Amino acid sequence: MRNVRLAVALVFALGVTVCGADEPSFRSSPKAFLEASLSGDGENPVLTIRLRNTGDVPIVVDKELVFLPDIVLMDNERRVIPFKETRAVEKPAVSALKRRLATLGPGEEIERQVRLRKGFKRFVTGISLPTRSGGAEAPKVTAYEVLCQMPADVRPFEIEVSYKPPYSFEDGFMAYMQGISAAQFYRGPLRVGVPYRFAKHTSGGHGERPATTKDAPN
Amino acid sequence: MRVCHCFARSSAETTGWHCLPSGKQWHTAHANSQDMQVGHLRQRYLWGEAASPPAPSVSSGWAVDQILAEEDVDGGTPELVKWTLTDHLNTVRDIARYDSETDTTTVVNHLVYDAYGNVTSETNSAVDSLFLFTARPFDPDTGLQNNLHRWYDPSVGRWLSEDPIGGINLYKYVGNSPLMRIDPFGVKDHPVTVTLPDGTKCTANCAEPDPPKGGGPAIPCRESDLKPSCDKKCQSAVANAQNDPGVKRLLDQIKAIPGCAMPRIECRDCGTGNCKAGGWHMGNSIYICDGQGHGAVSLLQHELTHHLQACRNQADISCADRMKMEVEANLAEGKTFAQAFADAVWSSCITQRCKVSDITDALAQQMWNAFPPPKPPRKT
Repeated sequence: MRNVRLAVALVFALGVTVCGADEPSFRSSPKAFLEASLSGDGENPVLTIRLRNTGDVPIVVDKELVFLPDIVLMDNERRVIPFKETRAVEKPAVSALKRRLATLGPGEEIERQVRLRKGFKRFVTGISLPTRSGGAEAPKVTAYEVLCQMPADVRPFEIEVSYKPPYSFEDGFMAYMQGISAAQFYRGPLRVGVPYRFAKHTSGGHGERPATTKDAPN
Repeated sequence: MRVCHCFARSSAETTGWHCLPSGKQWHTAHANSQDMQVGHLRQRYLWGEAASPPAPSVSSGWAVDQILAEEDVDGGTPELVKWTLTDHLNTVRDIARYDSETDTTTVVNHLVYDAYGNVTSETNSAVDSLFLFTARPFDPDTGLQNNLHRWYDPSVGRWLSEDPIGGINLYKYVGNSPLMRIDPFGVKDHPVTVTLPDGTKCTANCAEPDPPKGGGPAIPCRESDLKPSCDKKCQSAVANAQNDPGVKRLLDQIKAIPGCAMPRIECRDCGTGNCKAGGWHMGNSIYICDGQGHGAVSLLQHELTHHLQACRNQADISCADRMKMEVEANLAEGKTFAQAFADAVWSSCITQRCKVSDITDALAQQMWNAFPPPKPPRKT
């Protein structure tokens, strides 16, 4: 009996270790729940993103769910496949941008539908790499919203919905919002990977089972 | 610490003080006495350790001389010491005095300024200091402030002369953002010297952007603006760089983090307009625009380190966090600790994540603890 208990404990410990290695290591407290699902078909895939406040305090989010989260197309080696930037979005006034920051109360949720091949809004930030180091040249910051689409010939392995600030997000957000810091934002980290199972020209797809994740406790 | 003695420069004309801080002469035209005698010691000032501007100034974190105390002296006999208490811009907000009889220090004058440095109210105008707004000497007769390279008129918030380094509005004071920025030398650089834990003096420039980033990019550089480059040299430099052991190690580390996307690394043409740069880190992509200028290997090592940090969910809102990320990326390039620290100060300040007062010996110690330099191998 004792040996059986030891064996069960060992299997359990191994299982936990293996699972732990497969899961991203998140550090934020459990505040929100991110869900993503794919519906439509290969010609018109629709990604639905839903963010729910599962904590007991309000969180600040972009009510259009554009600043965060980011949508990333991946191949089977997790390499990024670029979206095509189709049209510039004129920058709204800062007052209008400020109104986009909404408080999501406990239990409340927010949803966005993204028509991947039709064109959807993305927020992109970047920082330039000076040609000369040592403070000889100042880095430039760029931040903009743009209409993007998944190119017709692209069939990703997975679509990742990543609710965590990419590198240069802080600088880009502050520049875009003219000095307003991104510190107030709920920042995740949350990530959901949705397998892309549509063939190139299928129609009448039945959608996919939603993929969900919660941010893990410390 | 540095002590500056102020002597009467002339007698009857009362033309002012003759102050000798570290061998540099200031003429403040502070004529407030009819009974001055040449060489008569009137006042002494105590600053944080400093060198002559615009060389690196202080080790305590201020890029300007931080006025610490002012002592009224008559014939060399100390009468009164006034302790000046300053804010983040080094502006004197309170003047305190120590009373030896009661063994207490009390604030004897509290000064309130408007955004451009005009004193709008004070609790005791009889107790004054020569050094007020941003700790530069103020001349009450002319109402002007001496910022060494230029005179500043707080009543109109403008310089009296053009900015020696140029700019769009040559007379504008700190980009019309006086609550956020200081310009103690009339130029935008803020050299700071810190002492590293091994005793090395490290000079960095906590410069501020011009124009301030809060204005936002007028014409953003978009990903689609960066057209694919046909430059063979760039393409071969990028291809070779990805075979560098240091770059490979970073790519392996990124791959090992579940959920971490492998960044796109490409040559792009970004030689013109708002996109002009050596390269860009945009979204999840690293674009190299110049295969020769900076060195594709060191550039990739630096940017892949940042990508890795984002995958580790490292936040960089605070100055210390940002410094940590930059020091790590600079060290990954193979820079020495001192160079990594100095370059991190530059980029953290220019992006407004750090300010001059953040750059202290304590910050250097914190970075040193996070990334201790490797010890030299023992001699056998």
